[in-house]
Amino acid sequence: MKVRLGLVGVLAAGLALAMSGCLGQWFRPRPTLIIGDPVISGGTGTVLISVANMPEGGLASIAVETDGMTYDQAKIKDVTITGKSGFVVLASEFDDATGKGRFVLANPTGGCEGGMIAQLDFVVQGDVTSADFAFAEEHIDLGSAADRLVTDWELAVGTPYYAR
Amino acid sequence: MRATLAAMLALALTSVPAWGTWFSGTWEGELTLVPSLEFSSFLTLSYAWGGLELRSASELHPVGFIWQEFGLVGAWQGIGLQADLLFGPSTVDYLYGQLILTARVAGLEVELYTAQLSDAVLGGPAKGSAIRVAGNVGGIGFVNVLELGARIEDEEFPGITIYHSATGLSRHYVTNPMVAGAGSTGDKLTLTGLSLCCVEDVKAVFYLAKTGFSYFKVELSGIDFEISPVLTFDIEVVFQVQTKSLVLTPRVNLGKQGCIDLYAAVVTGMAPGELSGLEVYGLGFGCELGAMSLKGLAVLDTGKYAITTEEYGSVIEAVSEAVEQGHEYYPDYWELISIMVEGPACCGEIYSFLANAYFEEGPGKLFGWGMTYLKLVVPLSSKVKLAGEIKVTATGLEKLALGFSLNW
Repeated sequence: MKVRLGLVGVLAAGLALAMSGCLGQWFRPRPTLIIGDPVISGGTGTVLISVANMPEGGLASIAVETDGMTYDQAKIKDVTITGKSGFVVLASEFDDATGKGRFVLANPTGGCEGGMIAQLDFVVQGDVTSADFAFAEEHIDLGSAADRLVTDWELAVGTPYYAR
Repeated sequence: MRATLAAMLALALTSVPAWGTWFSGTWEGELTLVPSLEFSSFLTLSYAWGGLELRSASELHPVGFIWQEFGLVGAWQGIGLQADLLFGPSTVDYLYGQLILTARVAGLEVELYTAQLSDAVLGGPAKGSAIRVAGNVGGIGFVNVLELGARIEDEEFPGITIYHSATGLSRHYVTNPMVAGAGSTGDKLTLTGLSLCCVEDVKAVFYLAKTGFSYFKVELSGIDFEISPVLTFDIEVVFQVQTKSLVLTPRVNLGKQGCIDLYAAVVTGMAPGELSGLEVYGLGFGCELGAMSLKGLAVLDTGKYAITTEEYGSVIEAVSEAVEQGHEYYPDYWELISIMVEGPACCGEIYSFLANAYFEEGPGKLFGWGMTYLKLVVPLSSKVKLAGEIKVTATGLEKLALGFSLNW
């Protein structure tokens, strides 16, 4: 019994010291807007829009203005957007003639620090990849739950995994 | 050659019962026919040896092979062990690893949590540990968590969730190594069962961050001031370095009148401490009629409340709470009528049939009907079940799927 207690104590202390000694410092990443890879199913496709590390209570609004989103109109048509995780679509416009889209979403119940916020659905004509969608940071505004613009954020396209 | 293959196949088939005594597992799959042909699968294999169990879980999605998880659970010499490794096969990446050791020492529960998040996950790389000690002294419970670059899931902290960005699929673990700072990053002491004058079961939480004192919190729950038989209060007092706050949260419990539930919440006014009224945000009823269960839900405040999907129990939940917990809900439907029939089937198993009808706001189909969801589960044996699922909306057939589950 005493041997077991001693063994457990030494094991726990040793592991704790070893872990603390080996620990590297973690630095919080910048707030990130994540555009997922297109998922094609039959003649329709889906792109998920997510966020990670959003500050001040989380993301509460997003505005993508003209030239904020473009797509290959030869392959992608009839684009629609749906809010997720409490986000509501306030306005949206997708022009298949020019291949440009813009939309505004808001979350009336709170902020989202990390997770999915919207879903784009579209009709597919041809082989669609993530290169057929383009988002421009300079034409996108993010608002936090503290009613302030999120600054110093970055856009991630094709990031396969993220953590919250 | 053919004789050899036939002999090998016969040997393999006849030895399955023997393998079944070593290996166990479940395999759940779903073939979706509408809106498009897709197949997804979740396979779990377990191998028990001595006091240890090795587990493998694989999740396939129409997009590809999303998750491969290995787990080890068991005990050795009185020390509990749980290890988890997560891989992303589609990108051939190691994603996350977790090790939990538990032991009982001198009447105390001692637990060591350590985790690592790889740089293949946005948010990584990160690694850290935490040591949790819990016990009871004179009727007062205590839990102390020493954080060494990691935090573990509790009432205030949600752990870590890793998402696949293309599909939204996720895996959740209790140890989160995404904690800023090196070495000792914090210490949290929680005391429960305290008494203070006329109040019993007081909870106190003391948290020391890497930079020093962070907060001291005292919680009193379910305080009944005998103002009303249905009204109780939760009181929370928080001391921080430069501030002190007192939060009084009123809660109402109207109970259940026979088979009818009334969902209500207290409405607070603009002035601090003002209780301006009572909001009835939902109505529900349920009863058993022989082998059939009948259930109805109506959401009266669709701005703040919604009905969760079948996967999350078809209950009325605050939208903010559903989003925080990751529960899917129907934002467009305010009413549900549900019928569930269960009965004996083959081999001592039970079949089930679920029919849900949802109704939406505004003019539409008959009575404002919005969607019908049907699901039938039929056991073929004690180890095999088949399922069929249909979802029909006002625009037509939205989903038609066949599923199966095997366990051995």
